Amino acid sequence: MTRTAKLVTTACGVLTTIALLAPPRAGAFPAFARKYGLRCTACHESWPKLNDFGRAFRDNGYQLLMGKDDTIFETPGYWPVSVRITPQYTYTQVTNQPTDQGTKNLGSGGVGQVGMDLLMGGVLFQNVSFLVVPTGFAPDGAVFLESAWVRFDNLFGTSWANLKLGRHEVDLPVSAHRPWNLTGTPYLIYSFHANGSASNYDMGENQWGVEYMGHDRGSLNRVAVSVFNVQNSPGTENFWSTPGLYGHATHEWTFGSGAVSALKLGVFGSYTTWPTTSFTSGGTPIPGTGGNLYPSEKIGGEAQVWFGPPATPLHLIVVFAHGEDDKALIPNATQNGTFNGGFAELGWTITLKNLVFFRYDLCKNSQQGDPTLPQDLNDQNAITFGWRHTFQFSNRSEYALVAEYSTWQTMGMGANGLNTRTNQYLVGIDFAY
Amino acid sequence: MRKVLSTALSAALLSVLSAVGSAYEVITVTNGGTVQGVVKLVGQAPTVPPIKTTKNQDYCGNSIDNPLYVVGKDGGLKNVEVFLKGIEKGKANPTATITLLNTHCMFDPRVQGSSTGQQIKIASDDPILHNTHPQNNDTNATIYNIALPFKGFSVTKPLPATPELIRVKCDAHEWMRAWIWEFDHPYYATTDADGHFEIKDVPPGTYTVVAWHEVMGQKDASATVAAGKPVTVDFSFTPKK
Amino acid sequence: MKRLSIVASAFVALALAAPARAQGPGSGGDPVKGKVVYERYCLSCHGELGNGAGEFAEWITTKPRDYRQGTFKWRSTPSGSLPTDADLDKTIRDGIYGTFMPTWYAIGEHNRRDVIAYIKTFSARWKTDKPQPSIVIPAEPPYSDASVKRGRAVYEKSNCAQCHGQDALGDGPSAHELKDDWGNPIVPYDLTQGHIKCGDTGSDIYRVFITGLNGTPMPSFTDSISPEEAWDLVHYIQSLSALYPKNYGPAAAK
Repeated sequence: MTRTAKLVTTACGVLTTIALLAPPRAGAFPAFARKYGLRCTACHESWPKLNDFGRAFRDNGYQLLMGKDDTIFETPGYWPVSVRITPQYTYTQVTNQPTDQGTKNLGSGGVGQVGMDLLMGGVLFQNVSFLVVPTGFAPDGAVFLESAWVRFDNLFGTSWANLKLGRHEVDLPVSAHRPWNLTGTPYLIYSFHANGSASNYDMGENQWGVEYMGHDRGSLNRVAVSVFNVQNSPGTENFWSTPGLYGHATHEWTFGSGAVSALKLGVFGSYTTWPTTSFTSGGTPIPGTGGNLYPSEKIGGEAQVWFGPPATPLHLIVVFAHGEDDKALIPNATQNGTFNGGFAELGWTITLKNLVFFRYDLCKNSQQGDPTLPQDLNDQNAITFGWRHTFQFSNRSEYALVAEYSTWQTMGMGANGLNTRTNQYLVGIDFAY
Repeated sequence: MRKVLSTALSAALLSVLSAVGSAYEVITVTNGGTVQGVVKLVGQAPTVPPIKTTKNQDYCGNSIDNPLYVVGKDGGLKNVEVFLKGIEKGKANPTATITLLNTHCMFDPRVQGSSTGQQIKIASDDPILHNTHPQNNDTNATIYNIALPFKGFSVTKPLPATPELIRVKCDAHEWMRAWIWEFDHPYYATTDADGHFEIKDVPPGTYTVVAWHEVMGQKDASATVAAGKPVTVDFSFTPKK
Repeated sequence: MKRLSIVASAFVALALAAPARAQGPGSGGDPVKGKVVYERYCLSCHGELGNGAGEFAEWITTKPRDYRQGTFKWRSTPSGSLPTDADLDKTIRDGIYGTFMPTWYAIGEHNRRDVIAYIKTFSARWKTDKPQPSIVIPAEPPYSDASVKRGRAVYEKSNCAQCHGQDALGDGPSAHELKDDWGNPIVPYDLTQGHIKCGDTGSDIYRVFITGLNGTPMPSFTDSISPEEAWDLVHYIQSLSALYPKNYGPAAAK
């Protein structure tokens, strides 16, 4: 494949990805509100992001641990199901795209292909919790299990022993399923790889595997380790074919008074593998025949600060990471590809019903695997900001108006090696029941 | 700033309140008058079925006479609290301790008056658990709730700091009921078995006399007290059919 | 990385250097900020008016507290008294077992202090009255069979069985027809369950029968049970279920 052809393919890929794949969302769960009679604000700083109480509730296995969690205490009519849909109008413009008529900016707008998340979760029995999230339901008909796990909580009577089995989101510094934005800009660092890397591992993607998780009271200290088979891998002979490991530990300080109400610091890292060879049929790789696994690594830190009154905080999140992809994963590479990146997100819950947020994402290659390529090729940055106004919430349901703008720039991947920029304008409604 | 302001405001409000109303002033009363009279029940007292006891029947018996209407000689009505409403000055409050006795699964007395600063001795004659649970009659606020677990037990407690009508219950025996009127002055009396009452050492002047019965409510009358002389104020209550 | 750690330590320093206006758990909050905390966490059960009639209240049996009377069950103060700020903080922090009142440990002391200040605005009693001093709980003597036996004698002498029943199952002769101050039916606690609503430590249990539970039929036994007898009674109650933590005296109380 020539370099130009590859660039075109990549650019088309980027466009398609943005057009079709809004980030998977699973973030608000009114079934819990209905079960416990709490408003959504009890668990969400500004939904869908969790607050301290919501994190502790999730870490306890969707339990309040006051003797009322077991489903036998619910009315027989209780059914732990929630629905989330986000009808929206989005206008997307991508610059510097190669066409037969030359380099053009392509734009498209319309009412988004409204999909739906079905969230089913809660406890089966005391200290046995579960989550099943079929998602999709868009006109293309695709439905898949975004999450499906069972968790054994408080094993041996301690909150430091919880085991989750199944497809789960690894314990990210900031959940990829709970972004404040609805536009298609994900937390870039989660999926970023050194330029050209074959690895498609995305930290924000839910993984089939096992998670150990432990925490103290109120989840001020937490640790989580996931061992999994990397999702979307072409695979090798075994189901357990492309192993991955992810770990995350945090400590949070809360302050009784003063301008800073809480501070959280954490470290995280992943070590994942990806096959570099496979049998082919007519040139096409045969699934499940990959081999020669090579690693990608990411290691990073997070800092989160909550300013002001803790009930209406100004929340600053900084996540950064350094990554490295093995040269065997990168075409024509003579050295490993490395990169640095992260994001800074600021969310201000002005009132319980109003949130403004701003995020800056930045990912930069620090060493191209192929040293002949420009240093900044495929560097990416993005700015996203918006406003969420929750019209109404109760202990049953909630809905919000969302207005957002996001711009996402990729270096040197457009026509003729130009930079491309994707601008998105979005107005939508976020419903959860 | 806001805090300072609200403190100042509430202080001002308090001083206004105390200026307008309830501060009772103690003066030396010589040659005071007396307010006396009889409270009568007009016609036949309604028939009230006896209290059916539902617990501790081995001690309490199966039923107890219901003391809502206790009528004596010539229709005299017992357990009516008569008091001078809003009297602003007069003799000093009594300091003796009043008594509320739990006896035979009932409170004795059923109705009594008291003055702020007095204490109450709560005692039990019964070999079963009672609890004495006085509440503010208007707000239902619990004043305290004391266990009287065995016979011969007694405890002395202060009355609330501010005057109020106190309703007393025993949660363990839900039929038990007593009423304690607490005033910031000493001018009150509870009618005896024949409906008589007598309020002594009243400084000369015109007063509103109030008679209160736990079921039939209250009635007002005006009385002008002359030095050294009794004035008679009679009340009559007609029970609702 | 180094710069970040400097920034982080600056934040920590800022937070620690903040004026120490706190006077202990639950005290010194701001009712204006507390209103938002209340709306965020409490309103769906306790109601906009603080009357315990929030949108979820009708679906649950242990009804949410009505704040308007200034009557609170769980206190360290004598019968009839208002609770201390620390008492309210304990109730909010640890929740009430077996009810829909969760533990709000995770929302932090700052939020709890502000919401306590706001809760107090619902009753005028907080302006005219002050909490009496907390009772003194002496150090817990060791749990022993002899103490349990003496405790059973205290249970009998004090006639606890009148409501709680001979076997402490909450089925005594006066167990029925009981009502709380708000007119809701209420039942004596089954002490064999192994959980006391307001906490399971020895001093939590001690506190209940010495202070009584305001607003409920549970009276104060402070005048009829001596401190030694009280600890024996605690041990008797703890002997009724293996779930109670034993020898968990005030020194170790959370």
